[in-house]
Amino acid sequence: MPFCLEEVSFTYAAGTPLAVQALRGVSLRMEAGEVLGVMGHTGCGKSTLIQLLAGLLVPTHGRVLLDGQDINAPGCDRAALRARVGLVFQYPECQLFEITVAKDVTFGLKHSGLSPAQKEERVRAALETVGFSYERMGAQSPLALSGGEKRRVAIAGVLAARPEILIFDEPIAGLDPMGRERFLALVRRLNAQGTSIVLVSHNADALAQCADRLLVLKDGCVALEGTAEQVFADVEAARRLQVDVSTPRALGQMLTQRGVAVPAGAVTYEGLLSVLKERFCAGGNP
Amino acid sequence: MAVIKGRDISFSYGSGKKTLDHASIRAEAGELIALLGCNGCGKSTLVRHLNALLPLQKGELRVAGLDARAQANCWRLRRQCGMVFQNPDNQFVSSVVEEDIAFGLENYETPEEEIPTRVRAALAAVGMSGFEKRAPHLLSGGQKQRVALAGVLALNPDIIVFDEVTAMLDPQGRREVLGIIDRLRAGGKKTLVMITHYVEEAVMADRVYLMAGGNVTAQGSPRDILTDAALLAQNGLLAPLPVRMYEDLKAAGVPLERCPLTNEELVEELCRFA
Repeated sequence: MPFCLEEVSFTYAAGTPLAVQALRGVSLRMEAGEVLGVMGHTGCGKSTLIQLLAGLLVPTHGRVLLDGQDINAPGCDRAALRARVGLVFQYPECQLFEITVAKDVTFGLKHSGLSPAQKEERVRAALETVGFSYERMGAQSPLALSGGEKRRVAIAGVLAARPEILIFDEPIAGLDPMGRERFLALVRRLNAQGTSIVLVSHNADALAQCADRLLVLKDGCVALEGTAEQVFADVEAARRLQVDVSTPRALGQMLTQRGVAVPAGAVTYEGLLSVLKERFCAGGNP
Repeated sequence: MAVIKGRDISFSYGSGKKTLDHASIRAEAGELIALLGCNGCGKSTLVRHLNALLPLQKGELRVAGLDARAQANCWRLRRQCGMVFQNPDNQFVSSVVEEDIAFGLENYETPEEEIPTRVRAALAAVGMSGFEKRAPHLLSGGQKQRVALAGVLALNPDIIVFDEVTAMLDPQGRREVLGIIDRLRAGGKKTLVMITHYVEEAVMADRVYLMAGGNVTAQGSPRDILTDAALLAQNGLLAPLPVRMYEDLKAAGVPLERCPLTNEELVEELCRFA
C-alpha cells in the first residue's frame, strides 16, 4: 500500500489576495505497516499535509499516490479511498452527536452496504479495541462521558470502517498521563495488526516512544526526516525548527554538558534508564 | 483570606452517577493552585462551580465572598471569576481582536469611553499590543489563548481559572501562555486555579490538589505531592519523569539521596553522584 506524495504544493485561496502557500514541494513515501510521526510549529503545514493524504484537499501542484494510483485523478474511487484511509481530527469528541455510543460508532458504516449483524460486529470490535465493552457502553449517551472516554468513542467510530491507514491529528492533547500511555498502546496494537499510522503531535516523548520515522515540517517544507534517534540527535537544530526533543533526550544533553556522557540515541525513558543504570550501578561505575 | 472556600460539594449530571462526591477545595488570595487528576475525575466539573456555570446541588461554596447557593449571585460570580478553556477557537465571538475583548466589557455596560483603554491594557498585559485589528482565527495557538485571556483580564476578575489551556499548543505557545500565568502569579493580585495534565506546569503552583472519583484526595506543596509516586499511582496518575527515574535507579541499586522534582534537579542529583 505505499502511500506517496510527489512534489506536493498546496495554496489556500489560490489566485486571490488572501492566498497562503501551506506546503511547498513536499515528497514523502510511507510504507505499509509504518508509524510515521509528524511534528512542527503551528502553521508549518501539518494539518494541510494530512488532509491531502486523506483526500480532503486536492494538491495545487503534485500528486498523492496510493498503491501507485493518483487519488485525485478523475475516475478514482473516492468512496473506496475513504474506507481505506481513516482520519481522526483534533478533538474528535466534538463530533459525537448520536443518542447512544453504539449508534455513533455505527454512523460511518451507514452506506457501507454491510448487514446490521456485520455492522454490530464491527462496532463491537471497534469499541473493544479502544477498551470498552459493547454491552456496558453501547447504550449510553456519548455526550455524558468524560473527555477521555468521548475521545475513545470517537476513535472507535473511525476504526469501525477498518481503515488500512489511520491518521491522527494531535490525538493526545488533553489526555491524562495514563490516557496517553493507553493511547500509545492502542497505536502499537493497531500497528501490530497491520495498520499504517500517521501521528501528528507536538508531544516529542510520545513520538519517540512509538514512531518508526519522524518528519519535521517548517514553513511548508520537510526540514528534517529520520528516526527519533536521528531527528533528536541535534538538540539545537530541533529547537531552531521550533520543536521540542523528547524529555529523555533533553536530559541526556544536559547530563552530557555536565560531564556525564549520554549517547544521543537515548531518546526514550527506557533508553535513558538503561544508559544510567549501566553507568551508575555497582560494577558499571568507572 | 480564603477567596475560594468549597466544602463537601457533590454534583451529578443526571445519570445518577455522582461526578463530584463531597469534594472540598480552598484557595487563598493571590495563590496559584493546580488541580491534577485523570480524565473524568471531576476537575472541570468542580471548577465550573466557581463561576456558577454549574449550579451547586449539594455542599457549600463561597467565592470572593459570594455564596454560590444563592441564585441571585450567579452574575456577580461570573464577573469575579473568569475562565479560559482548552480550545482557543471556541472562545471567540468576533472576527477582530479588539472587538472580541470589548465584548465582555460591553455586556457589563462599561462606559463606552473606558472600553478602548481597558482593551489596550488587557492586550498589553498578555504581550499582544499591536494585534488590535487582527483576526483571532488567523493567530497562532499561543496568541489565541493570550487573546482569550486578555478578554478575561479586561473584566478585571479576582479569580481566573485555566482549564487545560496549554493542551492544544505547540511548545512555543505553551511557553508563552505559562509565562503569562507565572507573571500574573508574581503580581499577586489574582487568585489562579489551573487544571493541567502536565506535571511541569503543576510544579509552578503554590499548592497542588489531587482529585480522583469526584473527590479531592490529597493536597500539599508540589514537592510533597508530586514526588510521592505511590500517592500519584493510587490516584491513577503517573509520577513526573525525574521522580520515576529516581525510583527506578534506586530500585536498581543506585544510592541516590534526594528525590528530584524537576529535570534540572535530576541532572544535579546524578552529577553529584557521578
